[in-house]
Amino acid sequence: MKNKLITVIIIPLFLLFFSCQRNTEKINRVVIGISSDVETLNPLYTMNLNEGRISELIYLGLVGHRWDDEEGNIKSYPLLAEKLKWSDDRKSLEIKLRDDIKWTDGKKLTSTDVLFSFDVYSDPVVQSRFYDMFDNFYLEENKHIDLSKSFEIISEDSLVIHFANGNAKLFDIDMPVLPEHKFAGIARKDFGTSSLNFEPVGNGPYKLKNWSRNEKIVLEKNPQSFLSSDNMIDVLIFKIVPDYNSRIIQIKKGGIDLLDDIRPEDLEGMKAAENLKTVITKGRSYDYVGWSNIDQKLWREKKLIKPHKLFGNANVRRALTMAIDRKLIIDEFLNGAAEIAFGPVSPIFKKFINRNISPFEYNPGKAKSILESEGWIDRNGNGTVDKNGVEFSFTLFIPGNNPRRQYTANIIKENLKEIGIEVSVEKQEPNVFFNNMFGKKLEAWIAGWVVPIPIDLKPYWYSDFNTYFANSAGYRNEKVDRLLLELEKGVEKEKEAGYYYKIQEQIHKDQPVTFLFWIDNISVYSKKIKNISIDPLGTVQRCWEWRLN
Amino acid sequence: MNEMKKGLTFILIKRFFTSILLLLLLIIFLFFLLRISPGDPVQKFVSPLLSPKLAGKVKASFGLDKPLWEQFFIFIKNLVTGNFGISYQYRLPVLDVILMFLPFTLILASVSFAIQIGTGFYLAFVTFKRRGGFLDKLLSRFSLAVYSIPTFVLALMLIYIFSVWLNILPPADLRSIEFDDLSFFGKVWDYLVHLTLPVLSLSIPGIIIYYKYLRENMDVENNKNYIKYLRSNGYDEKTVLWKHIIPNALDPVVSVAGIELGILLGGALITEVIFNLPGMGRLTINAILNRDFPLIIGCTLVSGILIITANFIADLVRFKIDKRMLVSI
Repeated sequence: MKNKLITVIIIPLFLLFFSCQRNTEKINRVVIGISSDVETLNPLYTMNLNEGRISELIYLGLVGHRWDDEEGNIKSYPLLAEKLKWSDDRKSLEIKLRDDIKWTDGKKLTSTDVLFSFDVYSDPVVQSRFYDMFDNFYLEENKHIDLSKSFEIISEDSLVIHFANGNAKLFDIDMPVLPEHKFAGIARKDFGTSSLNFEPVGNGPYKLKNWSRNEKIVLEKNPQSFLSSDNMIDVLIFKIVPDYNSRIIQIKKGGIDLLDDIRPEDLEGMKAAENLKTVITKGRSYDYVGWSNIDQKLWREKKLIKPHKLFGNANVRRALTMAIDRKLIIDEFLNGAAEIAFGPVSPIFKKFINRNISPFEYNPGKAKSILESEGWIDRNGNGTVDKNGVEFSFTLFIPGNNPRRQYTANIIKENLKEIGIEVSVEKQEPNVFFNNMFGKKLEAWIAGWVVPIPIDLKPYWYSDFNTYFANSAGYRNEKVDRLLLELEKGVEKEKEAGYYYKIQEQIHKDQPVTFLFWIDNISVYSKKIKNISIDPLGTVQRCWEWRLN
Repeated sequence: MNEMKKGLTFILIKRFFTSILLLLLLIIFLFFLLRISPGDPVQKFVSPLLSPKLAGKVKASFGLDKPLWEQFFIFIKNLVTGNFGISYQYRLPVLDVILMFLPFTLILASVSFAIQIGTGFYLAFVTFKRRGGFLDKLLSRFSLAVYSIPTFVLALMLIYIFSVWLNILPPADLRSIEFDDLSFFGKVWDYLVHLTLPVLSLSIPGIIIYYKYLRENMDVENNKNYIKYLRSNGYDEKTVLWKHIIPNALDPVVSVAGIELGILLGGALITEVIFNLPGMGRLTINAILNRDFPLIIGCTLVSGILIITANFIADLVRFKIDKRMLVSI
């Protein structure tokens, strides 16, 4: 019986074990940990961070961007374009394409591909992520670019773009270029479900080798790319590991070579790991407490504007900010890996952040006296301040499954209790929470923004709520509106920072929301990777420059 | 015999139509439940920079701007033609998405189910035969304690022991990153080592269930008078055990097995999340979190079909064990 057991089970297992030895030599590759699978690799629809960072290695645009750390801003440079020449009035841009660019199916990239790309990006039927973002082009009524007025094809590899005004920048043309021949024959309304979402034909330094859903996305070197070189990384694997702790175990054990969004509590452990290098960069995401500046119900139902009964007064909002101990949250929860925020301009934008502004200090005594001066006094002795029969009590909403915001909400609840404000904290499932937040259905909430690069404040702080629903707090200030409009029209480069300074001063004074903190980005990578640059543009941008030890 | 065949045919037909009705009711209920639940599936597809008017256009493209009754009729019409719609999240037909994840779940569930049944039954027989022995005492004392451990705790314990402490098994994933570069046997081995811990954490509670049910039922049957009668009339122990005790003890266990198999086939969410496995459980929960309406309905329908089928198979097994059930219908 025992002999039979050995024959049937143990011997085949041994054979299996010894025959499974890897039959390939060591592969030149880097494994990057990501938390969730992407939904598409088609640049028309790449909405989230990971979709963007992967698809931008497959599809390049006419221009690329680098981070200039000294100035704290991005610098654009020609990528698919070989030469760019602005007209004197900056209303026309002559573009000469590189002549060595091929799609991964072997076809040459031409100026008609560029024209097609702008055509579909601005087509309302396609509903691309760039739709309604071509204000500097000649537009049709439905915001589709007027191609005949905006584009002039000179030859297969040169074209001229005519802009409707002199405010155009290279950011207006940095969208990834798409292969017209691959989209031909697909109805535009079906682009969103076409196979090109999963089988990209690109022009970048990497191409898709394999995509195992919810498991990994494998990119391999595109030898046809002009960015390709012999010693660049051959294979990039984006490994999907939803559980944060699993990602941490895997980077420590070498299963992952690069990981972003390390929590501050793991910082020391990462620094202690001999095989890993930790990089901390100033963040471009901030948390804030949103106070509804306006009566949302009146706005939702009648589109009328009336200040909110609790948060409609700037003095009260300032008092609320003074009553919140932001430093405590940074020290206790974030292990110091954050900076107190005083406005919507990230510290990464060194040129634009107004360092003359000092954040409001934590001062519950002063906060209480401001409230008193505004008539908020505990008249009925129940421990909560009141005014005109209205008690200062409200619900602070937070998205579920976010320990940082839960902790922050608890601190805020305790802090505001000290000045006689009653807060109850309620969690909402994230989808419900954001739907309510954008729909102006929440009185007070904790959320965060990742600010765009290049800096753009208008969608978040301009007072036209019909156009910009990201202004969830319902902030309105004429001065800020005017400055934002002037910035949009274009101002002299030397004066640009001054405009941002003034906007920050006004927003700081008005405190439409309580800006909590800018959270540092903590990234970790294996020391085997060399020549890696980590900056606010991300970790994998320009990864074709990486080398392995 | 003829009567039994008729009974079986009747059951098959009745089961088929009641199952169709049940599934139909399930997805209709789900359709309305999803529409009235809070949250907007389109939110994530709308850039915060878009105006509410343009955002409304995006919503319209999903067909979610239409009145509920109109959405319902479109849904039913599509359903009749076998069109479950396009997943918002995957931008693929729902059935194509499900087919990407279902095979893994089928394999994981089947392997785990076989291990649960095999090991659970084996332990029950061994301890029954050696009643009062060491293994019997051990299992009777500790089986409930093991069963009470939540799956995620069990999974984390296994990861700690085998991956962190002993470092002999991978802590997560279906296969290693080098999988594509391995030989055929290497791939088989790779799957084996990766699936050992998930299968174990999924199977251990099931093993205990089957062991407990069968062992207790065997004791109950063993103490019945007809068994004593058989023994006193000189029937040998083998006949008593295999022809009388086991068939009678199996009946309730088979019912439990049908339910358990159905649940397993619906996806083992916790195991899939902890071990980072691409199965139906994770697919369903992600679809719910992303408000991917067509995919939620598709996943629910598939789970419903699998649960009904598993229960039906369990009933067939029960009929096979106890033919009186067919005649009584």
